[in-house]
Amino acid sequence: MRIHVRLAEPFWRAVGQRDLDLEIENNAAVSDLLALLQDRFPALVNEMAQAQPHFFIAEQEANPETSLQDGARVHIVWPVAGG
Amino acid sequence: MTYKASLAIVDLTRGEIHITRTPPPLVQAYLGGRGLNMAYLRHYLKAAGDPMQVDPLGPRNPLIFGAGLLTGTLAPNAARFNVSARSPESGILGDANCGGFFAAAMRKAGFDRLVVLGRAERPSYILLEAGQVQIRQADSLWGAKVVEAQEQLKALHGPGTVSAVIGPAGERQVRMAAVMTGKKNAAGRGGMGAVMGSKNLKAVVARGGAAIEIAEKEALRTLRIQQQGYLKDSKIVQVLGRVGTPLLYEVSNRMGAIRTRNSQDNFFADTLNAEEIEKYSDKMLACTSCVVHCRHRNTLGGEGPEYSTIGLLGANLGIAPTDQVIMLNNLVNELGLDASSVGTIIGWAMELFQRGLIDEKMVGGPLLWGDYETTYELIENIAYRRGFGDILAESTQAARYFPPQAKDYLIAVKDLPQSDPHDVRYFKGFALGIAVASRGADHLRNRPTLEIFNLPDQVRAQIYGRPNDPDPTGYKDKGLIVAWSDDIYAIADCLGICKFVTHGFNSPHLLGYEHFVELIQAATGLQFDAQSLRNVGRLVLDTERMINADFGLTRLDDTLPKRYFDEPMPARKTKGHHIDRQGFQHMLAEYYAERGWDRSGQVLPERQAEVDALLSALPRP
Repeated sequence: MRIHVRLAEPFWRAVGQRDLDLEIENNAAVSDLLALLQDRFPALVNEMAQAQPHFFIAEQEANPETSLQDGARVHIVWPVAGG
Repeated sequence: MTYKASLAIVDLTRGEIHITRTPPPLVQAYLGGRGLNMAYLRHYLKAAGDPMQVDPLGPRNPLIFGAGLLTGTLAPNAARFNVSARSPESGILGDANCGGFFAAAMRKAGFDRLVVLGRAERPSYILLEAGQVQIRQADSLWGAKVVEAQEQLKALHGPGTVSAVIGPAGERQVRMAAVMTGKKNAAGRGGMGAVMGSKNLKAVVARGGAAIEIAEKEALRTLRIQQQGYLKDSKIVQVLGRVGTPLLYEVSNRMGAIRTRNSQDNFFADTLNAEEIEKYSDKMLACTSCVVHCRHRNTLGGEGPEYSTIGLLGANLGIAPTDQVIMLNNLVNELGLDASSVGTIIGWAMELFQRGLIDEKMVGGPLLWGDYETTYELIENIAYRRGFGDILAESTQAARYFPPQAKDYLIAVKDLPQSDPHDVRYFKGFALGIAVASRGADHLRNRPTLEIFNLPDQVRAQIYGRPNDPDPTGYKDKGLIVAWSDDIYAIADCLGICKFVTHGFNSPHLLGYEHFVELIQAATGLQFDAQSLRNVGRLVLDTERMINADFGLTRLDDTLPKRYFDEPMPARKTKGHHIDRQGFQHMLAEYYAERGWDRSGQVLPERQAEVDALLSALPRP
């Protein structure tokens, strides 16, 4: 199935682009998507070591076990909050 | 002890200058920056008799500039100073914190603190140089905008001159006028620029030349190298150095926590994301001794914008084009206005217009969401007090011109507009923080940012001192984490250190009490351990609470905008969240208990006596 991924700061810098379209096996979960991304873009491993990513699908926060659906749009952000 | 806290007291009415030192016990107790400013503020307000009778825009209101204890030294990110007075915006404790280069220059000119009293007969400025103070005429500077005024002063006094000035807004005593240094560094909160204007004081000019005395130079140099390396390994420091605080916009927006159209909505356009702002940035700038470099120099002629400005002059007003928001940012800085208050007050007015509570007759035309041209003109009119701008120049006090229900839509606490663009209805600790912050609705007093990280229970217990509820949307244990944040942020403000390198502000891997203890010892010779240093934070919070009690504040004032209680957030992850009134009261009670205050939120009598005994070391004004 096909998944659209949008990467926020600082993750997209390690990939070189904000948006990606990826093919992933049916019934994959968010954790599988993360493994695929880190495999394809090894620099992400280092980025995510300190900046733990959070995942949003269809406006709601997802966890690593959340199943992905074909056509899902996954937004990966690093949660920070200051001013 | 090496540290000698030099103080200049300037009476502009009498033209008198008194140079002295802060008594050492007071330095040990309050350190500097915000802490000593609060000590002096209470001292002068009490000396005036009834603090309630001190007109914030009158000559009896003391205006205090105080550098942090470590400001200007090699300590990382030690650039900051506080400007304090009774606030003409909120009517309570006024205190604004600012970076840039002014405070280091002030210390190198021989002064850690300046207390300004009275009112000059004509426009004036104060010159601090080589341990001397002069009051000079500023007729030719009056009317100059922020950068122009600083350039004129530099031309007059030569290279190395650094000034803190007011723009047209301060001159006209706009209640949200800032004290500015550089192009955008602002002591913005609470209308300290209006207090300067009320004293006919256009600028404080520092010409530094002398070295700051350091107790153990080699030790401080070693600590600098160690701590700089530690900080540079931190992800938040790296990312802030690359894109600055605009980083935060996308996160808040994705969650559905960005104040939008006066908090009627909670998400907005992607045009204000960090990489869009970056397209208008040609350099990242730093303050004195900074290792972060978080400030954009923008290609539209100014510096910034920060996250707060993006949110409050962008999403909160419904303005999406990136360049327009940057232009508004540059405008408020040039006129010397607090972007947080201006964005909140204009958003409030736009909603009042939307609801028909004010009309074109009052406004002078339509006031619509997303209307950049009207907003630009309105900001100028606020600064110059023209037309409807003259009404909004009163900030929250403009409510007296509007129907009574207008206050229901005002996003302010204790009459100070909320500082940051984060809608706090989801993270309950954030909500408690702005409800109890000593200067009014402000995130930089105590924002428990770690709530967003989902840290393991064990780590949370280690940070906050005991196990605590990890649910950021619940009401339990929020008193604990806000009180913890209060104390460490107060210490950063006392030392002159930036929150962006302070433990708890977006990372548990930044400078904490142990680091600060080492820096204080090396720079000044003053001895603390982690607990005794935290106790300074507690003293600052108690003193601030006592100042506000004198202004009549009670538990009823520790509250939130009505909307945050009554209206659930409309969309995204945060949808449905609001502040439950009973839950809020639980948080408040817990917070007072953590602070050691009574159930009405007041400092206990024996502690009040202890604080006032300390302050008795100050000579009677």
